Amino acid sequence: MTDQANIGPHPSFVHTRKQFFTQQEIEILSSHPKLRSAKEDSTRLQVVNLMDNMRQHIRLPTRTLATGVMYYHTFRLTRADLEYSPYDAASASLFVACKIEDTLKRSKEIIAAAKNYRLSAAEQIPWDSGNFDAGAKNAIGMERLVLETIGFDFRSRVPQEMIVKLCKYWCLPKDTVYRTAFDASLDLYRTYAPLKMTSGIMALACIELALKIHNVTLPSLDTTDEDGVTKQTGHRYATPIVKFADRGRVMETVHDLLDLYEHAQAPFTTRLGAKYSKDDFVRIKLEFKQIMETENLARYASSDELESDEIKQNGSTDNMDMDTPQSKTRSTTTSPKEVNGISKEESLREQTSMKEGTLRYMVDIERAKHEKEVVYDYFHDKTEEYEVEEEVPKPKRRRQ
Amino acid sequence: MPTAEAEAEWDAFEARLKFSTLLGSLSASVAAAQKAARFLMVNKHCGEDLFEVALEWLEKDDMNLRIKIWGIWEELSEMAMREQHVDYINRIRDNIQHFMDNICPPERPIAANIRIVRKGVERMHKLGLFSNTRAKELDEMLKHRTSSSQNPDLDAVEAAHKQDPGEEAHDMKHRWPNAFGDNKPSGAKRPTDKKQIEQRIEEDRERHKRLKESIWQIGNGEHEESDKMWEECSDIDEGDLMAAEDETSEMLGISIDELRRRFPAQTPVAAV
Repeated sequence: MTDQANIGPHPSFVHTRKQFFTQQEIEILSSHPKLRSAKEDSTRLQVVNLMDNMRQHIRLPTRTLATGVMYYHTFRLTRADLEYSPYDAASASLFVACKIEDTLKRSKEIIAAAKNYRLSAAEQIPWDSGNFDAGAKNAIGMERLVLETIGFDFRSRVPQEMIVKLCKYWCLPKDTVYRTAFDASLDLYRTYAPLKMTSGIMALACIELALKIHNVTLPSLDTTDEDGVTKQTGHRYATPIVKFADRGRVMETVHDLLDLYEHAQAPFTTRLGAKYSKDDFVRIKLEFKQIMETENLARYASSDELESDEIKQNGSTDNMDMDTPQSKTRSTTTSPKEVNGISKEESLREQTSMKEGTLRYMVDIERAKHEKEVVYDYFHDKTEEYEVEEEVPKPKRRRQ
Repeated sequence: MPTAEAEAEWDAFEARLKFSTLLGSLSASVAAAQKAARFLMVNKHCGEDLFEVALEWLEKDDMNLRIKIWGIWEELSEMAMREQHVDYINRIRDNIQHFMDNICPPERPIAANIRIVRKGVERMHKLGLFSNTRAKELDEMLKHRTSSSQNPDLDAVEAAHKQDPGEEAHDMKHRWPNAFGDNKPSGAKRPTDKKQIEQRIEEDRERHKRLKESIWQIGNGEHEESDKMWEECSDIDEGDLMAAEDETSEMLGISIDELRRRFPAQTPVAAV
């Protein structure tokens, strides 16, 4: 009784958007029963194709598409618990992206675009005809869910600009390499690569692929850097701006693209898939395979790195995916060796039901982390009240 | 399914009536122009009649209406070019001079209209409606009319727009009292009435919205967007480096200081 009286108000939960996922995390999330079916891949292609067609119809620039697709992917992966149609999620994501990229369109215009893009001008249904009211309402309803999923964190990554800058910097031909790289960057959104990589890495991957397609070599890509430090981290790009780009991650992204070209079947066309034959891509894939063998790179660099980082950093790597105050513990706990898929999955997914307290969204991860560390002690003592969330998933979450 | 929902086709007589009503209630928004253009596309079979109707309406003594009808030609040329509807394309090509003479009459040129028509001609040229020489010729003609523009009323609106495009209507009345009636225009021209000017200010606000959209809208050409980006993108600079640092540190889950420790050799960007 007195104990009860001593308990202050719930400090509320803090949610931060997870900006980057590793391949492993994406696989864990895709293992949800709803996403596991073989159809999921084609659904993804279909939806992104649709979004691309819609945005071209209403003349939205690439950056709006890029942002929208990122939101869609995140939503699809983390909100498998909800019942919704992927097409509604796509429209809602595009709608949110329009606002964020300041390319405003009415929700009805977006919904109408989904129907009108393949019709001739005479057959098109005007967006204000009343036919799209229901769809627009749906999109507005889902808008909130999308915003929650991205934690009101509106940063996004758009590699196209970086492609231009790097192509100019390396004096690459505009009509061949640049255009191909630009097309590849749009195809990239049909894969999960944008969730895993920085815009610099995505840009480099598109350029590397374009270089191979056009048989152009870039001296700075193929000579080993003399700088001891860069060599040590496997970095081979001499431009300062991309010095952070890990070669393994670039290759991973290139392979994500090549896998897409290999598997994407008509009618889910990709831009480069429409221009080059599958044989070309098979040949290019072999070439990249050789590169990876000589450089001793694994298919998925992002997962390996996470692991090694974790050892080095004592776990600070995944401090972004903590949903509950309790999860803040990790800096003090020792990490268990085995991967606990289930608890990891739980931590990655959005929390839909909160027992008590308010859910707050925070963009600054450091701040969120600090706050959770401060309140952790208070939670730790009251084991009985928080047992479900606190004790069980906590220590198991750290994977090695 | 889509055709069932689209506007129905009418016979020539009904189409004329319908189109007339449509023109009568035309607003300055893109949606309205598109609606009218779509009506023309749906009723291709009586295109000739509909063109006649539009030309009749163009003769009406309302400069605001005339410029709104110009919006229809812009939208129509885009739709017709996309579908390669030769009949409409030729009609627009043949009548362009006529449109221009009505919308910006040489004896009574209105700078506010000329500005819009020039932009429209440029857009049509980009669509491939006119040859380079023809587009240049039309532009020259409009330019010439701009310099000889003599309508003080609507020109005053134009001047006010230039001064401060976001100007509120009542402020404008205050600042440009002469634009709204009292002064007698030079020569034998009719005074443009106050209501028309106010209406025009409202409509220009609508057009302004469209102008804002055109900043980010992409074109129809396959390489148009990538080419535009190529032209507009600046060189690599300090800001890119900082953005890359931010992203990378977040991807690796390490602080920026830690990242800098790992990648110490930082060539100054300027030296690149």
